[in-house]
Amino acid sequence: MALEDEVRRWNGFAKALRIDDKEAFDALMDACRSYASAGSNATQPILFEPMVMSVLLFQQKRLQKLEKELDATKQRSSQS
Amino acid sequence: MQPNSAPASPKRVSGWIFDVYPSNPGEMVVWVIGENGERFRLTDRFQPKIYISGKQDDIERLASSFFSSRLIASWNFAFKYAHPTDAEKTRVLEVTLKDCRRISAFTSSILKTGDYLRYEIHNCDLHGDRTYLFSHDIFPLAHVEVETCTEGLWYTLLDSVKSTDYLVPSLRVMKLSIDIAKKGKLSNFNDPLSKIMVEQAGKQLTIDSGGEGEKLLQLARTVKEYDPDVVLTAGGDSYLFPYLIHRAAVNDVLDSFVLSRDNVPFVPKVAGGRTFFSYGRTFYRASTTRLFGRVHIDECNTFALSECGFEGLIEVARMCRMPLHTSSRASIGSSMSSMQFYQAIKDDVLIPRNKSISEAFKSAYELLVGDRGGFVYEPRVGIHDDVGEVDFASMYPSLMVKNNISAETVLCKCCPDSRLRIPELNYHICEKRTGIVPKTLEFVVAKRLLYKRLREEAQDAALKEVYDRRQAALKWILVTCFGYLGYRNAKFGTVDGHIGVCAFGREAFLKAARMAENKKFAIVHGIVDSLWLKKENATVEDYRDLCGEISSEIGVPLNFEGRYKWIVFLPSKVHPRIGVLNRYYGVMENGKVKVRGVEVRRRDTSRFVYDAQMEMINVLAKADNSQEFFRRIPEALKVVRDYRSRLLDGDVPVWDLIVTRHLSKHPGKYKQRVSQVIAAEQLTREGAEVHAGKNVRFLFTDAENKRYDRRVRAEQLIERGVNADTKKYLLLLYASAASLLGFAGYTAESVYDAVRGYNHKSLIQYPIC
Repeated sequence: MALEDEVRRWNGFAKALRIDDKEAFDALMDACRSYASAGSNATQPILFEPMVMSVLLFQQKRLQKLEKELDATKQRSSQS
Repeated sequence: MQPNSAPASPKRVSGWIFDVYPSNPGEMVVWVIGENGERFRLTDRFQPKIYISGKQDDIERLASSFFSSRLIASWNFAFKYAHPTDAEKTRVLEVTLKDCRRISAFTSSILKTGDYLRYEIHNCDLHGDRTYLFSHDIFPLAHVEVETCTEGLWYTLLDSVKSTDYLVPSLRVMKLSIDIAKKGKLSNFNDPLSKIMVEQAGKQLTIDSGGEGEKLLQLARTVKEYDPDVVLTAGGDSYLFPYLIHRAAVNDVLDSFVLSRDNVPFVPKVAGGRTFFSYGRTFYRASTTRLFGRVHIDECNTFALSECGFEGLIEVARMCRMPLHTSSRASIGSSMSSMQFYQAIKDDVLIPRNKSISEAFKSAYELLVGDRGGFVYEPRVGIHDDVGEVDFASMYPSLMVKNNISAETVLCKCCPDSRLRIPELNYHICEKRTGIVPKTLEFVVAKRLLYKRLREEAQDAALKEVYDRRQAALKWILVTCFGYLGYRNAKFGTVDGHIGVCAFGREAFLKAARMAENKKFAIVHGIVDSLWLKKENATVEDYRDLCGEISSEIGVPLNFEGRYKWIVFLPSKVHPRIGVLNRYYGVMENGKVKVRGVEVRRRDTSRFVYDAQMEMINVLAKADNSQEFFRRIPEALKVVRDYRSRLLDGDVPVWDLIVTRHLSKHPGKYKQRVSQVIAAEQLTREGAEVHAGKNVRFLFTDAENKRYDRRVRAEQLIERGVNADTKKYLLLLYASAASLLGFAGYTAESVYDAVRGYNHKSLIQYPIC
């Protein structure tokens, strides 16, 4: 609930984005939603802080996943 | 009051307490079902005690004025815990009143004398019947031996509330229903009675001859002859009895129209029902109709009976020491209070008139930290194989017992340095004494566990069912005990304790989740006290071992509910990439289908949509794993196609299309003309009473018509020639299919395309993050 209010607070920002940027923005907001419980457990008075942390975490997981895939590709190509 | 059909009361009776109620001033009537099957009416003297606390000279001055009061039988001073938080007993005034029905009049006069400040009155809002049961340490359907002495009745209890293997006398149950010769589209109180149907022990009788007055008198004679213990009606409180009483008054036979065992005629009703608000929903409850010496149970106004049958109702009545009439209608909250009051009286703790323990002051930050619910792990959307479910058994009640959470123990005055602390908020909890709430709950938690064990051990199917219903009745008490702790009128409730239970709950839950992860289980979803865990090739033994370890570490039993062949966690309708809690369906290895949060679980789903979605789920349930699930989707869509054809061919009866919606406020107070309001207005125009909190059943006739009255038709007003809005029902059908298959990329439109034979939209598998 509180998260949706905060997302709504950024409506003006989102409105001004180009369509491809808007899609990326929505994906970021979904990243925040998927860590909503952890965010709530952090009990931070400023909601934006757990949101930023959620986005960082999401990005970090993405990076780790890509790195793993890259390593696997490198290994495959060195073997062949 | 004179007995209607009972034999003269003997000197000594062995049997079961059936009904208790006050009759003449200072007198209580007790009905006992004898071991030989006879029903006895016994009378006992009973004068309730209430307590007054305040400054010593104030209460002494008050006592000196009592000689002029006609309500008081006697008074003296006693030592009690005046407030639940008190560590020591204080001297209070104990007043014995002549009549339990005058307690509230006496209470108001004392409060007024003390300008509502000087005196505090305790134990003043207990019902006479319950105080009587408490004071004699007996309970409804207790097996007793009663002796009539000069001082009153003397009970020897041959039974115990703790007993799990008690005998219940066979009760004679009469089903009563009526038929009204309605003149308009809807029946009302001015329509005459057409016939009365009674059914008892397989015998059916229809009373339809003679004038209306004669029919009513014949009913009274039949009831006297059949002598049922329980009169079962559907809508007896809200309609059937008020109507019969009104008709008896119109026909001038009210004085002879006696259905009670005691010779007490009905009193025409003046009080209406009440509408109340609980957990975000508005409810309506009609005022009750009591039969003296028999128990009237209204199937539409009973929680215990509808949830857990007669066995459950009797269990609640025994445990909570509430007469059957009250316990059948009681909310779980009042059952809970009744148990706490009994415990308080046993412990010499006085029951405050108003809740007097206030919430501790909290800063905004403390509120942010403390005022939270249980923890949730967002579900990983999509279909999963190899998922097992584990649940904490009665988590909150067990934590309340384990951590001694009660109004008088959280932030107690006696042990500020206690080692027992609420996590995060760091509030201390009493170490010196056990609170009233945990004392009450301990016994319920233990008894429920015992019933569950007996259920598993029982060989006989009927006995299994009995134990199951009894444990279900106790489950409801346990489910609500946590919420009740935070209720503003709960006398032994505390918001700080309520917050504390959540904090203990989160701590235990997160600890359990971490332990599971350390054992290489992935957490697919978690809600407050249940976890869905996934580990490839994990055996049932692995799950059981994990449960055992967590249970002993945390001190609350964690049960392994079973493993799923596959389970689908559905996404949010608004954000299709995000999962929402409690929207899933899956099939367990034992074949049990578990569905939450979709149309089949909703109250406002029509039979047609329910059947279609259930059939789809059953088709998908044949799949043994996720790959097979996907292969079965076309078959599931065929179900939609079949239902579509049936609807278009006019093969679906109108009754299967009825939708039920809830009125959360009076129809006149809605700003929007939503469907249920239109239907409610149609009913009101025909003279029916529609209250906030009631359900309205209607048919969509033309959902998009500009003239709103044509959009729906109330169920009671459906006549020949009324047609359903096929388009609306087709849309509901497609939406129900899409909500099951939404995780695979289906929308209502793509279901429509698939059903019409167009290409399926490609299935989108969401990545699991």
